[in-house]
Parts: sequence; structure tokens; C-alpha cells
Amino acid sequence: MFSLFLAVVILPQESVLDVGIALTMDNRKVVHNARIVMEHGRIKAIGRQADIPLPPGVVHYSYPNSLAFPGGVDLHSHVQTGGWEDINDMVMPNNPELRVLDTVRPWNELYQTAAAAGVTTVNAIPGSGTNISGAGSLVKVKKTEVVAEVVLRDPGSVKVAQGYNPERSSDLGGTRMGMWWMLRWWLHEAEKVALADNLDERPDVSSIAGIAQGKWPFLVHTAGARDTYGTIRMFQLEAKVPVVVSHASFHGYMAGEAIAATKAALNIGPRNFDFSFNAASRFQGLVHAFEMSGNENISVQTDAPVVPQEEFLYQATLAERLGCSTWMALESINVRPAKQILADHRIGRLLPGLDADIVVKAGQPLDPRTPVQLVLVDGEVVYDLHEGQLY
Amino acid sequence: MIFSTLLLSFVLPQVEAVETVWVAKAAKVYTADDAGMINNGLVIVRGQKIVWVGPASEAEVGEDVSVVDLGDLWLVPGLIEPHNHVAGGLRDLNDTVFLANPELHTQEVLEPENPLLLDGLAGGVTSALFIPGSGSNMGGFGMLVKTSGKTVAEMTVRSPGSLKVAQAGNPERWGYGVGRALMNWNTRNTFEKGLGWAEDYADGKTAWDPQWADFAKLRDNSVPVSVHTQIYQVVMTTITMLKRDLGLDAFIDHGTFDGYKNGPLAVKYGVAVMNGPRQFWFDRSTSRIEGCAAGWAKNEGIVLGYNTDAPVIPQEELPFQAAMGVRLGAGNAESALKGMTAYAADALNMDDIAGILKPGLDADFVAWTGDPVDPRSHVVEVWVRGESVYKAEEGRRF
Repeated sequence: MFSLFLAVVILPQESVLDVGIALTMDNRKVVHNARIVMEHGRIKAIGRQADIPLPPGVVHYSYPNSLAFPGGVDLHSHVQTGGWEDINDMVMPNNPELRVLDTVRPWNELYQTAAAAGVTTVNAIPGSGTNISGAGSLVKVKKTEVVAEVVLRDPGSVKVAQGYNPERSSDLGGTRMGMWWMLRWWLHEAEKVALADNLDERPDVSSIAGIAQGKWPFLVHTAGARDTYGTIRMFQLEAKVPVVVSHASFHGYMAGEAIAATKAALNIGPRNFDFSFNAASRFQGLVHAFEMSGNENISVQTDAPVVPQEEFLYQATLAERLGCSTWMALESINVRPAKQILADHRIGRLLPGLDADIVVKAGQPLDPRTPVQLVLVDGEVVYDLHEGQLY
Repeated sequence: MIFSTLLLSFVLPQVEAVETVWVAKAAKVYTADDAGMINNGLVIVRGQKIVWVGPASEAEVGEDVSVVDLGDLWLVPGLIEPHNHVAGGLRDLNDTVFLANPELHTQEVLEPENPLLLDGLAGGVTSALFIPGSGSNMGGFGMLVKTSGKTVAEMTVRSPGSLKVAQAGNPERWGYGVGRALMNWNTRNTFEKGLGWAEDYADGKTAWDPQWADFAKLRDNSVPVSVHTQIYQVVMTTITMLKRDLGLDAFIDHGTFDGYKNGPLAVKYGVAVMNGPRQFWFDRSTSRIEGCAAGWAKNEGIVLGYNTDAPVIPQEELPFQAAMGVRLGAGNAESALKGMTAYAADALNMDDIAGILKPGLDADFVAWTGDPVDPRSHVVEVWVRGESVYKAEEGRRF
């Protein structure tokens, strides 16, 4: 026991990762024969091995035939308890006072598998049972039982559901008119508290008042052409608050051109294609359809456990299989979601100063044939294939 | 001569946005205003607007201007539906937890290009007032839309288009059942709260409030109140409470059963009647079928139009409503056509937007094989804001 403890204490501050190819995901820049130097959980330097000398006495990971890329950032995940529990408290139609933070189990089994599949940050959020279901938490997938150590930002976002689930029977909000009115009322309330800047005195609305102050975004469960555009209209165009448009499924893409004009942040999934609403009776990839209509700001998501958390990268694989361009798919799992959740100063790219959340894989990120070999979060190993394959 | 000079100026590059100028020519051009029917008429369109209407003999059209020659067809203003529920989700029409819901808006549920709406377009209906249902005394604010358009923004003519009020004949089913005494008190009380807020807000005495914000537009009469009302006593309350006492720009959006007995009162207070979807009433005292529109039409100066309450009557059957009105004794074919165009525009407070073929208004018109009120006629082509949006020959919808 003692020797283990000692080992931690004398661990060097710096570590170095050498890989065949590093995808920085910063302006699509690729580094061959790359060396990434990490210190205090952050990336200190990234460049060619020929240009960066190996510092003496550091932990050295060497994967000359592998790729390194930023850890996956899933903006729509519900497995913070390790299962389905505690995500919908549905007495009231709107619950901005509820917090996911109170339910997070940091190194739960589903997060462990997620780490093995290259997911390093999840936006842990409540369900879609009510119109405002509570504040989510942006958390790292780390080997610790201490919640404070995994929180990247809290609130990470506030979850809103605009239709296709939160409709309430025998209560206000049986229709979109009622549900959307209540959302407008809360937006107005948030704006008042934000302007007065008295968030501490109003814990019931502080999570959404923070959004009105631009600190974190809404994440809105929405689908279909009418609702998807309606979400953008209500939050982005009218209330002018940051918003991530999540799902946008069914025939949401049929409003693709109008959505592209707004440059809205789209977070597509877990449904990756449309069959029912397409007049041509064929499978239409949703990311492809949005890309074709001029949208660039696209991330993918699992809605875990709807699609298992560990299959996050495959959501992008499927998007590419159904027609979207390769770089669109690659960016949809790291840099795009990081920007959408307003955390790209910390995660989503391999750049000096950013968190050392790095995935090493024996092939291209979206190639399902190759295994993840090593995953680092804040510079610490959370998964190592040598210690046994988990996924 | 003056005209041809004008026409020339249209094609000069001084206009920054490229606005197409074109001409529609037809054997019969019905304007729906005092000009009435123009034989061998011309309508000149520039971009989205009408710029000239008149006899072909009075216009000189430059050779470079494209002419759509409709031959023997009738060219008629696009029809206006004052009572529509099919422009958006049918399940989203009644959120009746409260007896009055002035904070709700149909804008949230509009669905561009939905099949029921496209059927209406193919039936010559180019504008519609899309309103909440009548499950409560105030269902919420409706919106005024064009029936064509791919996006909410393209469709929107005005939002809010009206406030939907239902006075009786549905909302009494609310909760365990409420009577007219409570309903009328509640309606009046809600209006007085909202109008009171609007007055205070105009005077800078109170803060902006999303619940009442649109009452400022009711207060200045820029947005009308469309009232689900029927039966003599209820319609009388509509006229006296809403128009005479509260000063609202209310119109009667059913007026059925024996509501027409209020004809003189409606004329006196300038309240328009959009009759339907019920077009007749069986009067037990005389054992006769009475045309409801016919009852209203007896009053000189009445502004009388028709509604379908779609989907109660399919949106595309609006002209049949007018045909039935005439068949049962309301005016003549021309007054029926005017009811679906100029008079509906008047009631909806959109007479500066559409409803008449005259310069300055939207180029919304329809080519018909004959009089639209004649059930044998059908639609050949529809233009909305100057753009051809439906052609029967390219695939009829019915």
C-alpha cells in the first residue's frame, strides 16, 4: 500500500505521447510522426518528433503506427447514474431548479466502457419528460469517485424538451401552444434575473439566468421541421441565448436551408436517418441531409443509453456511411460539440493549453475495425488496451 | 402614355433588387372592389405586388414584358379563409387548463406545406387566419398566413393575426361545466386586465409582460378579435360586450343558428360576419330551413363572408360555403365572391395586404374556369405574391 502511494507522489509531472499521426482537429491540421507533451493535465506542446526533443525522465507512451485525436465529446447523455435512474422528475412542467450534479456517479460501469471507446467528456443531462427538466453537468470520464474532480463545468447546459415527449395530459402543456408559452415565460423570467444579476437570490432560475448571461447554453430536445426551426426561432433568433439544437430528427432536415441561414448548432442523433417522412421512401442520412442544405455546425450524439455510450464514435461512422463528408463526420465528435457547448477553450482539439484528453487508436477514428489502444483524460490513463480489452 | 412610361421604368436598372415585371391577361378580371368585373382585363405585377389593373385596351405592354394569356379564364383575387385550424398541428389547438389562455399562439404550431393546407391552395384559398380551437373562452392568438410558402417566415402575413375568443357553444364543456354568466364575466375580466395592462404600458407605468404584450395591438385595433359565437343571445353579447363596450375590432366568426337576428345591431356597430361552417338552420317556429347567411344578408350595409372552420369543412371547399349561402338566399354570386375576398380582408384587417386586385396589394390571384361560386368551376393556376404556386395541369390535388 505504502509503495503504491509513494509511486503516485514521485510520478513525473510531464508525460509524452508519440504517435504516427495526430489529428489536431484544429482547422483540420494533421501532424505526422507527432509528439504530444503533457504537463499538469494539459497539453504543453504538440508537433513533429523531429522538432520537439524528448524531455528526460518522463512517462513515455509510444504508438508509432497509431493515430491520436481528441477525446469524444457527447453532448447528449443520460447515464450519469450508471443507468436510467433519476433523470425525470415530472410533477411540474418546468423544473429549472433541478440538477443532474446531485446524481452523478463518476466512474460508473457505463462510463468505464465509454472511456474504453474514446469518449472523454459527456454532457450529463436530465430526460425529456418535461419542458425544462433541469441543469445538466459537463463531466469528464475519469477514474475517481469524487464528483468535484470530474466536473468540467456545472451547469453544463440546461435541458429543454419542446415536443415529442413532454406533452402533458390534463395539464397546461397538452399542446405546443401551451408548452411553448411556458418556455417563453421562463425565458422572460431568466432574462429579468440575468439583467438584475441576482442569480444567488434566485436558485430556482439561476441555471437559466446563467444562459441569458451567455455562460452556458440550452440544450433542446426537438424534432421535425416545424419544431426544430421553432426551437431556433424561440431561443436563438428571438431570445438571443446560446442553444444547442439536439436530435433535429424525423423530417427536421426538410427545414435545412432555413436552418443553415441561422448557423444553428445542431446535435444530431441518436436517430441517424429518416425513412418515414421521406417522400422517396428511402433512407436519408440526417447529417448528410443537413450538410447538403448548407449546415456546417453539426455534432452527433448517442442519447445514451438509447444508443450505448460506448458507440458514440459509431454515430459519426454511420453518418459518414449515410453520405456526409469525412471531415464533417470527424469534427462531429470533438471540435464541433466542444464549441457548441461553449467549452472549446478546454476540450475538443489537440492544442497547447487545452486539456490532455487524447485517444490513441490503431486506425482512423471512425473505422469500426480498429481498437482504441490508449485513452488519456487530463493526462491520466483511463483506459489501456494492454491491461485488458474492455470494449 | 403615362402608363407605358411607367412600364419602361420597371425594366430600367435603377431598381437594385431584380423585380420581375409580368402581365396576366384574362377574358374576365374580377377586382372585388368598385371596378367590379373587367372584361378583357390586365393585371400587371412587379415582384410581389400588383402595380396596375384595368382593361387591356387601356394598357400598352412593352414587347420585352412577358404576358401570361389566360384566354377565356376568370382571374379572381385569392380567396381568404377567416377560420382555419389546418395550417398546423391539429392536436395543438386546445390547451384548455385555464378558461382563458391569452398567452398562447398558433405561430408555434404552424406547419408549412402540410397536405390539408396545400389542398386549400389548390382550391384557390391563398390567405388564412390560423386560429386556436374553441375549448376555452380565449384559445389564444391566431396568425394570418399565406397558404403557400416553405417556411414560417415566408408564410407569415401577420402574427398575431387575431385573438380567438369562443363565447359559447363549446367552452362551457370546460372543467365540470361552466355557464354563460361565468364565461362572460371571465372573458370581460380577462380583456379588462389585458387592455388595462396595455394602457399602463403605453403610459410607461408597468413593465413589459409576455402574457399581455399583444393586447397593445388589440387596444389600438390593429389586430382583430375573431369570435366563435352563434345563437341570437350569444351573438348579441359579442357585439355589445366586445365591440360596443370594450371597443375591440371584433368580428363574428360563425354567426350561425338564429344569430342573424342581430343583423341590425351588427350593422349599427360595424361588426363583420364570417358565416359558417353551418350554412342553414331549421327554424322550428316556421318549420323551414333558413339560410344563415341569407338572414344576415337582409341587412343593408352588412359585411358578410364565409368560413369553413377547416377541417370541419375541408379548406378547399370554401367556395361551396359561399355557393350554399347564395343558394339559400344570401345576395347573389358577386356578393358571395366579394365575401370571400374583399369583405374577408376587411374583417381580418388585411385590406391593405390582399383581397382586392388593385395596385399596391399582394399579387395573390387565381385563374378559374368560371365563377368560383359556381361549383362546376375549378382552379387552373394560383399565384401568391406574384409567384405561380399551383398549376392544375402539373398535377391536380383533387
